[in-house]
Amino acid sequence: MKPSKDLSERALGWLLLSPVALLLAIVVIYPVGQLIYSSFFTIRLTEPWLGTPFVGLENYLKAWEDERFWGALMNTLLFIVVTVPGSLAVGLGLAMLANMPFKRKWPVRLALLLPWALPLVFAGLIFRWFFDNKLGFFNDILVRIGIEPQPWLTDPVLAKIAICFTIIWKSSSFMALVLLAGLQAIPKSLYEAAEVDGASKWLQFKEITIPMLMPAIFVALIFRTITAIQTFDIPYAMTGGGPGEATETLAMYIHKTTLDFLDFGYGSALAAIMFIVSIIATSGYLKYTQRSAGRD
Amino acid sequence: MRHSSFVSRLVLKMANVQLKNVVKQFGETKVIHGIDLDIKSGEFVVFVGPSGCGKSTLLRMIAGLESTTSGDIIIGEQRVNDAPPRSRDIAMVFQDYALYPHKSVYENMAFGLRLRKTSDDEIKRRVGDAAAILQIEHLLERKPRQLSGGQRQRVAMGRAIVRDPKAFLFDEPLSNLDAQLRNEMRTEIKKLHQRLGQTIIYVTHDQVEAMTLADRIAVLSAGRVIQYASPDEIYNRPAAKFVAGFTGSPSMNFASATLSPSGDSVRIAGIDVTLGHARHGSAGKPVTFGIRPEDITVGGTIPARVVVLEPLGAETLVTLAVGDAQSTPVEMVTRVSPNLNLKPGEAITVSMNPAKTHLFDPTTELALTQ
Repeated sequence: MKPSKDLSERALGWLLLSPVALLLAIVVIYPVGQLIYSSFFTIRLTEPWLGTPFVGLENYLKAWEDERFWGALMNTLLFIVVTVPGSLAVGLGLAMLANMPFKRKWPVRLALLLPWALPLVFAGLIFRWFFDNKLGFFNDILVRIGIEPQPWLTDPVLAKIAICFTIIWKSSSFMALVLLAGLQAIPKSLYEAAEVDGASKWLQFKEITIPMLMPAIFVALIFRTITAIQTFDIPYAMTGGGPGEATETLAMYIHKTTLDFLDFGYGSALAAIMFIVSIIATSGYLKYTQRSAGRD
Repeated sequence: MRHSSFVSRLVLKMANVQLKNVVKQFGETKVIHGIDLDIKSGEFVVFVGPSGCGKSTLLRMIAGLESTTSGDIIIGEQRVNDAPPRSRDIAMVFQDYALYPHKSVYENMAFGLRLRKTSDDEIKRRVGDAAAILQIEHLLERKPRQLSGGQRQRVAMGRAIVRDPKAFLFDEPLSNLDAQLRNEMRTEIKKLHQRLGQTIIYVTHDQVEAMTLADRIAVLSAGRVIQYASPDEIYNRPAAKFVAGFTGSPSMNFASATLSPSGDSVRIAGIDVTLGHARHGSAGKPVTFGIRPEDITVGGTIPARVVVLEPLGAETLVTLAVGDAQSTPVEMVTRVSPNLNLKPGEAITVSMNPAKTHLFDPTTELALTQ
């Protein structure tokens, strides 16, 4: 009797899981599989007479020798390295501000939510105006305090700084929301106990807030890193990848390769590489969180 | 030997705590109305009262976790109103224990000492001593989430005692434990006080905890101390109806009555009950009569009928309808031996111990003694 009951329960389990599994298969597994499959072929719509021959790893080898790919990868890594910790630091500050016992909490929380609610391209366009060489807000301030206006979006280094600034502004509110949830889960009595124990505000932050917030920080970092790897909209709206290719990210290069140059085979290989980078980065975080969970 | 040296070191540091006309206001709302209390060095004082009476607020004001609107809080000889908690040299045990979840038991206990720049050797010795007293030596490497409720409670107490503070503050420390563990830990806390002799201020809403632990009890209601006295005094000579009703389980029986013109007896439900001493000041006036269940005994001259029996094993609680046939009877509870074999509806007679009767003013609810 028992084995058949187990079997029917297992079958029911699979049955209940099957809609989600099917959905995942359609929207994730099939496209990713198709992408990897395409990356082994030459599919150039500009040269249809070539057909779609199987080329093995040729597209990947092409990427290895493609300077523009390495430039885009380095830009992407730069944006990850600067904007992920940057938005974590700003987001933590905002979260702590929002967690303070204000009588009216909603203006702070609304201010926190607004940048998050704004579409990425809008944010990019707004900041393109802010950083405009002639009409921009930042150059206006510089002129008022007696500093030469800067070519924010036309100088390769300044353009990277402007983009990093915008990404941090845009993504800090999401970080702050995740961290705010974490902060609110820390019992107030821990701070009171620490205060009675003799801890200053700084020590309370270091000894209670940060360790207690670690799980939330990791969740926020995973999400932020994944979106940082996919950075596209903001640099696209602000500089279009320029000057030259100075701010072109991997996602932008993939977009150009596939939709502008219509080279689907090579574009698929580049997208597969980006997918692998995402998996490596997030599995690193996951491995760390699993290890620290095990240590507890 | 190890414990006794630790204990002698602690005894040197304990201090008295004085509250002088202490007031706490949240905006326009006054929650503590000018409280005066003098807690002697080494004394175990319990603040007891129903939810919302201000007992925890008062404790948090002593700790410095709540500001004091006016009045003086003095620990030792020092006025500490404006001192932050860390400068008051007190230790506190919280209701939810407030153990740092990411630190080991050892680190939890050592944290306060580290912040006070105590040497590693001294920390190790003090944590070891406290762990030995509380029998938690085997738990020092564990994290709080690996401990049971009772063990966490011990760690929270350990964290307080390693600090060697001037006074310990306990904020309903047993309320998260099940009944059996609560009784065990209550005994442990009492033992700990007997061993350490430290000044302890303990907040609870449980009158049994208050009665069993305290040297003196401050009974609070609506932000005021109604009575501050020994458990014996609180139980046997309550200063107000509120105190009388709050202590004892089951609580005191109350009945509306009229004092005789001579002031030495009261008339309740058509019967006369003799008092232990006359109250000439209120002679002939309406009063609230009170008597504890154990002071009503079966057999005597007062007619009563058994309404409900609640056997508890060692004793039986009996709800009686007391009074003569012409009057509306008054319900009173008594404790009797199970051997009496009373039956619901049975007509009996009872007597009330005159020396243990209490009278209260029906308006002010204060005890009438004269």
